[in-house]
Amino acid sequence: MSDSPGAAAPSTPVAGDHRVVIGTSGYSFADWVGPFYPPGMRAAEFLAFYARHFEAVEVNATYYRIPDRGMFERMVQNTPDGFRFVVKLNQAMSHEGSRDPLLYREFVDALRPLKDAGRYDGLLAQFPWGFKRTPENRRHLATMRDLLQGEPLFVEFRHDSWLTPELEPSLREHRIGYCAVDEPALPGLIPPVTMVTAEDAYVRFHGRNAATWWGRGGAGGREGGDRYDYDYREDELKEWVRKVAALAEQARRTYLFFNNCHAGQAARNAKLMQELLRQQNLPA
Amino acid sequence: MERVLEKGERMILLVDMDAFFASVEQAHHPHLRGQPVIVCGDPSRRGVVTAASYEARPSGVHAGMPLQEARRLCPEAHYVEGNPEKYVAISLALLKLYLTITPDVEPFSVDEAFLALGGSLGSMDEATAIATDLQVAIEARFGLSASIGIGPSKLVAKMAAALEKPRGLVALDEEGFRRAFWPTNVQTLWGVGPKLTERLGALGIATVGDLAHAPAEALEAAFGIIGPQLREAAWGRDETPLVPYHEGVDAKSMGHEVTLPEDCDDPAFLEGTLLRLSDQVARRLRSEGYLGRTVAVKLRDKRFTTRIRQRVLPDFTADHRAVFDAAKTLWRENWNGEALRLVGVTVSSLERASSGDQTELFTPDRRAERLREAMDQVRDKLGEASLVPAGALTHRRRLGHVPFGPVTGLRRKDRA
Amino acid sequence: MTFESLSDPVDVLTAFVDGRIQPLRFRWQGRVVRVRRVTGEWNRREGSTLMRYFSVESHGADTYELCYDPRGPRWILSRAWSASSRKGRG
Repeated sequence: MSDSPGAAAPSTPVAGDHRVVIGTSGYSFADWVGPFYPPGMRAAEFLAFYARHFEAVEVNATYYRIPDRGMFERMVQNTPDGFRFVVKLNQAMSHEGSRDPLLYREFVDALRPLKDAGRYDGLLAQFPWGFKRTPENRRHLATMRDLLQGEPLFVEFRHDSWLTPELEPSLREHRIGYCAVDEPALPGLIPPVTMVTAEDAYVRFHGRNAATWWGRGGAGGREGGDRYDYDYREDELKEWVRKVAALAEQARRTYLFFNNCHAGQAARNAKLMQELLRQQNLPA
Repeated sequence: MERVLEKGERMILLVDMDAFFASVEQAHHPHLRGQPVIVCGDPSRRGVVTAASYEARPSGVHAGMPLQEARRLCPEAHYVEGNPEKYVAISLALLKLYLTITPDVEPFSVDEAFLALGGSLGSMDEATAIATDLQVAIEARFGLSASIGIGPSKLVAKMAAALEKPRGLVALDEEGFRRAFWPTNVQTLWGVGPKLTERLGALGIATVGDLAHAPAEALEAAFGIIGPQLREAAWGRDETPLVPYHEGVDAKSMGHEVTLPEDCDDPAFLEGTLLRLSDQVARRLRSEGYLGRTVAVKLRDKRFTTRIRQRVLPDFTADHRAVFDAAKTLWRENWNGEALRLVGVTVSSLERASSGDQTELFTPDRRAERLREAMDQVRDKLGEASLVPAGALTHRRRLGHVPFGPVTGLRRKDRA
Repeated sequence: MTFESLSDPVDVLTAFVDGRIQPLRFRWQGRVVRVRRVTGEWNRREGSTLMRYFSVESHGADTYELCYDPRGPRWILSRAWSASSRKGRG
């Protein structure tokens, strides 16, 4: 057998093409007790309960601190077979411009328990609105891609300068999955365009709270503030059904994550979306 | 995607077949009914008891005991060479029956399955009525008896099922659970084995009731994350999800694909990649016990144009050479030379492989050896895997969730 | 008491009705055995062949296990149990 350089790239077991996978960005919020988690439930029980409702979760604790293996080991244990994880990259990488190879290596090493259990679906790099399309930032993205070689990577841009005709072919060439966003229609923010630039498609729903978007939190500020206080209406989610169907036809898996985390709305909207897609006979 | 039942609205059943292997033989051979029956490997050789009917148990015979000793304890017993295919076939037929009651069926082992009832069926009275009907249906259709445990969680249902065997039907709410189990030794708790019992004993915890009242901090300090879980279990509380098996989702095909780091049009590299993928797929087929007949190749170029071509082989196979030869031919015939970004190999039209080699079925020595292997496999797997139907296929699946961490190191109570 | 494990080819009078295989009677060791009822059925796959197994009860309350091999096609008696026998042959 020829010793191919591609031997380094891990192959993906193929199963259930064209599935839509729905979840929320993060699951560990105290204000979800009541609206989503049963009253009295403690944080240690959140994930197991969440996993009865959804097939996947976007881990966002890793944005705030670099993970270790133990963290993911516990997550695997608390969830059933088949439950999947997408992991958000640390703010040092997306918001503070870090290109420190040791940092990236430590991060990737922590993912081992997820990979061993076959539950790992990739990484999400969410860049702030202030991360505009400049030569410097494009280099940062390319370097980041190199430092995460072989990892499935999804990238979310917030600044609309990124939306050029070069974006799609460039992401495809770098094996980066484009993360479409649903956000308020404010100037400077990326509109909800979709594109499939890797094997899987990805959409994040941030809510459309235009009033509070540029509030105290500010561009590039903390997540989880009033900005994400939004409850999608059924007709707003229905707008997406056709788009999601189109994505699902092209992509191997289509991820939909709800980030409007205030008071459990993300979970409720995610369930509503599940229902709407099922009505359309989409595998969700 | 599993349906979700709100806590408080769901009732779990654990259906546990009584002396399963032995009872199947009694059903197939009616003159064995009411008789002591011992299921084993080849009875003319040294071996152990795989399973004993209830009629044989009073004499002290149990699974794992050497046959010599069993013969001494129970000389009048009938010895039957076990046949795993039989038991698996009946196990699958039972699962089909359970699926007519609820779609939320989770096989736990070859002779146990969890059922979740929700909505209007989620009350204890309704669940008990359904369980009673189920016992009658199993007896009528299969000539087998089952014990059923009913409770608000998997933990309670499993422990309730073990309380009165055979033909038991025990429903426990959380209060009933406490009354039944708090006075008992902590080892009766599902998931607690001899090692854990010892360590709990060292903390002065002897009964389930002791455990229920032990300080959570002390348990966490001693056992880490499972400490609080143990305590919850002692109160009959268990959030373990029931992971239903969905027919048709698994095992229609198996494949591997890879996104190449760079778009590539080098034939040697692509061929090497196809070889690697074919090998991976073949290994997975073999390890999961499948043979396949259709090989498909997926080619995606840099413009995301995807082509999938397949061909049917002359016979079922799990041989990587056969898969690769077909994949290579399909690629050569359908590749236009454009640089590719993704290559994939999939095998479909799957059937379950027979256990063992393709040798003469009925030579006595080979048969005995194959039976022994197969019997060991079925027995070993009882604690680790569940056999799950997909039409006429079986598909070994890792256990979704067992209390208190990974399966290794836990002892299931002796059964059969 | 034990079963006899065998691999004796036998002639079986068979009905193929409604897509089902029904063994009716067979000749073994010079005797004709009439099947009173089928007490169990299961399959085993060998390569591309599906072997069909049946446990049957005779009118004399003896039980047998028959195997239908569609490649022949032929029937094989794989196990015999005599309810009246006191000792079996291994």
